[in-house]
Amino acid sequence: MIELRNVSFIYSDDGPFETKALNDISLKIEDNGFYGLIGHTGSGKTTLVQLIAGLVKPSSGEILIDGVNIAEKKFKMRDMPQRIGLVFQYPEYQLFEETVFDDVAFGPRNMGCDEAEVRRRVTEALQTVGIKEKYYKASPFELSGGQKRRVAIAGTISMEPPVLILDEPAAGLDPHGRESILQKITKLQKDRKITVILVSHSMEDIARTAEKVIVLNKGKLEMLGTTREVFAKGERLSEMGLSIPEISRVVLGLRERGINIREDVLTVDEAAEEILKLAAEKGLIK
Amino acid sequence: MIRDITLGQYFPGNSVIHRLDPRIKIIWTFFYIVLLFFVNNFWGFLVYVVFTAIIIRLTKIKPKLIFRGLRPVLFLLLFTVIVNVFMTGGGDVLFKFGFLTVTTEGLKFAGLMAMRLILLVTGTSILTFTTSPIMLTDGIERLLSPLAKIGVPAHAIAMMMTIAIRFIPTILDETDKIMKAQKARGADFESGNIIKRAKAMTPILIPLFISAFRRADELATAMECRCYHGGEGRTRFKQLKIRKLDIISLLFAPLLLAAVVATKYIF
Repeated sequence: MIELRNVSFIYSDDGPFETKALNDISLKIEDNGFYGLIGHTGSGKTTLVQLIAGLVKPSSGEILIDGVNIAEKKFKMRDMPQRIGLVFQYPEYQLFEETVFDDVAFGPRNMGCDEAEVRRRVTEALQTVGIKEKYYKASPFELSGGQKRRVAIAGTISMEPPVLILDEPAAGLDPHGRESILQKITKLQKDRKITVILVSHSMEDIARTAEKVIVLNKGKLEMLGTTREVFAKGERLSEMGLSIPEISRVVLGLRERGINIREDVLTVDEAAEEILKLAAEKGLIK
Repeated sequence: MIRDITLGQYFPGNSVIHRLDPRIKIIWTFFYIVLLFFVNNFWGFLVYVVFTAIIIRLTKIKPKLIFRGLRPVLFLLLFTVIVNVFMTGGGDVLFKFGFLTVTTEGLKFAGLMAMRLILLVTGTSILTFTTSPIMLTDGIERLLSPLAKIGVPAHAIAMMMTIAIRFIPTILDETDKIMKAQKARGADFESGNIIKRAKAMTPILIPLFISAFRRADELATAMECRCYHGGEGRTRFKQLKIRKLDIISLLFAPLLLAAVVATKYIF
């Protein structure tokens, strides 16, 4: 479990540019959960995930990972109780090895796995993201954009972290690539029973995948609840400059017009069902 | 580590120094540097320190920020002082330590060298701190323009400098991001000997080079799309004009020169 206690982070350029990226955040992230992290640009999402991954230390507060405080000055990344995998935005810009295989093997090799174990992990990770074996010996720079992205994500999956954080993994991909990456992440989360934190601007993606949603606003924790609870507060989200899933907007519009539809509808299928049910109740259809 | 680099940093402001024409500031900086190498006694340096202090005061930038620019050259500074302390002969011997001898001359010379370096860095950083990169390169282009007649590509040089300076923060940001990303994949940059550490830089340098080339390519295309075709016939939005303030500032140059020369003969 990951627990944040009163975490603040200040970018101190000790000049005129001091800004508070995070302000007194306390939250708990349970094991095996699928979390969505949303917030406007500059709300502190990226800082938050970097803190959890132990890449930066907070200005104040505690970050407990399975009870160990990684925010302490003395704490070294190497002593992390369990690895936290972080996939950055546009991860394909971090590819550097000569072959796809070697690039994905970078993490496991750094962890000190023997070659047999490295081979198993790399093969599994590449299979998970759907990269065919014929590409293993190819240069990562010869691949298409979507393939590069998937190889880069495999580079983190191969470390088999119990917690996987992905910062906008689908950004800049075509709808098909988007769909396929999200599906693979969802499947991975279910199969391996890991914790996933998905940072995204797309409310549709979050609504479809996440079980719980964390909302950040101007460096503060605004909401943390189940996906239904959070998206039911459409008005509050709009005030923060966040959109809600399109279908939630339709439902909200219907309610405004006096149609008593359930407000925590998340997907188009669900909405269709609800609308049909209402219509049947009113005798509009049989 | 990366945050220490203040090269090309500009602190926006509206002080007298900020408002000076960039050409005047560049000429002043050259004059300042050249004259600095003629200073060789305590009183001369005193004149320089007072002069520099007044300029810093006029920029209205916190002195702390200006001195932070010294951090990257700290090693060079220490090295210079140590070499000079031990290698300069003459004067009274203060003490001997094996083959190392410290003399009064050595100490004096080391002190002067250190002073000179500090003033050099501080003085030149005032130029970049108070002049926006665009103004700076505009100024350089205009100063080089007489040389264009003999085939010096003044505009191209200025444009390259503008672009290079413009992308320093971008590349630094990117380096930071790539370092973090590779760290998240278990890369270790801090332990091991020099060779191991140099090798550990590969996962940073390769992505960095690739993105630098990609960016350069995209920038070139974007510039061509907006009909950029070099400096010929290009007009500017902001014209540089020499004003009263600039002329007045130049009047102080002979004054500084006189003060420095005077210290040479009087003391």
